[in-house]
Amino acid sequence: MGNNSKNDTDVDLLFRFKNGEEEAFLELYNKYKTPILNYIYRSCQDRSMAEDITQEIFLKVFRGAKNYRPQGKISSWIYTISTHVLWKRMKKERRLLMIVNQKDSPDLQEDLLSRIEDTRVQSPLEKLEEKQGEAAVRKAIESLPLKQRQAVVLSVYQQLSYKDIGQALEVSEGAVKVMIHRAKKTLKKRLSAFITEQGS
Amino acid sequence: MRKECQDLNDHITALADGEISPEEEKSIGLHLAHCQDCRSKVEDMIKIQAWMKKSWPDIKPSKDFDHRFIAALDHEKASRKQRASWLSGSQRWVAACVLIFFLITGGIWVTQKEKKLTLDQVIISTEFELFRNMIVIKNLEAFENYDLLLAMNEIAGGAGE
Repeated sequence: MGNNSKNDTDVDLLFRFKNGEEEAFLELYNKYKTPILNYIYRSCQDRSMAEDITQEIFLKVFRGAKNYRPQGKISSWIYTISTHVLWKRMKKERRLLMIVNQKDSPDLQEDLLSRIEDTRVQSPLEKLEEKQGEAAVRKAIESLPLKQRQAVVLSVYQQLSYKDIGQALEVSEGAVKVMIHRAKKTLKKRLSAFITEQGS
Repeated sequence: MRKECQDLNDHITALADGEISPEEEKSIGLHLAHCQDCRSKVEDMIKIQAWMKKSWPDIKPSKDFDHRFIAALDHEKASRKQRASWLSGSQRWVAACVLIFFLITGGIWVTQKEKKLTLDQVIISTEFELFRNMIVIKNLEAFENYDLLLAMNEIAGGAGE
């Protein structure tokens, strides 16, 4: 990685990549891989799926960067790609789940469920899940509709402004405000009891 | 609930996120200064957000994440190169010839297809044939009467002489 480019802005990095400097792309990747991974992970709540999706996102960024003309923040563009890839994947997963649910064979369902359970037990994530607080937050966030969930994750965890969230989710700033307000109201209701319990 | 408290209720999340305009901030600030209930609601929201962030910390990419991505990237670059090199040198000419061949054969096929008559066209042409035949028959009939007419003319001519 170039030493002189440490303070390069995202636009500089993209410009350098367009001019053939592949290192600039890797810098962009290194800068955003963890935030994007966490955004996806908190939205889909499956670590291995989140890693797959994140890789797909950066391949899309790689493919699209050469033709990209900066219109807003580069980060917003990456988050928009992330949202699209996530939606596509979630749609596919939901379809798969519907197919599994429609199958008459209960064995198949049991088999699939047990396999999911197995991976969960083996996953290091399970250890983290043991923490009650995290489990409560995860459960509360999971219960939100996908768009509200994404908006909350981008606001609370990625600390994006409402404007940037709007760009990432392709909705207006006003719609983001409403979504986050509703989502946080629900979360507050669900988590207040838990926090009080823990506090006492 | 007072109207001011109701108004603030709609802005609690935006306030906790620092997403309100300076004008709103002014009026909300004035209200918060003397409304303990609303103040504690905003504080609760900020606390919950902080607690949520603390309770569910960020994950780091797994150890082989970069390795897997670089491999996927290399694969992407290789297939891109392959796609680019596929149309280089003599292969480009082969591809062009194949394309021209298909364009020509496709064109011929389309024109041939166009030449085939539709059902309507078949009916019209058959009827036209029939129409033409009727004219021929009429002419033939006229031709058959020709001898008679000729004989009548001769008789009339003879009588005149």
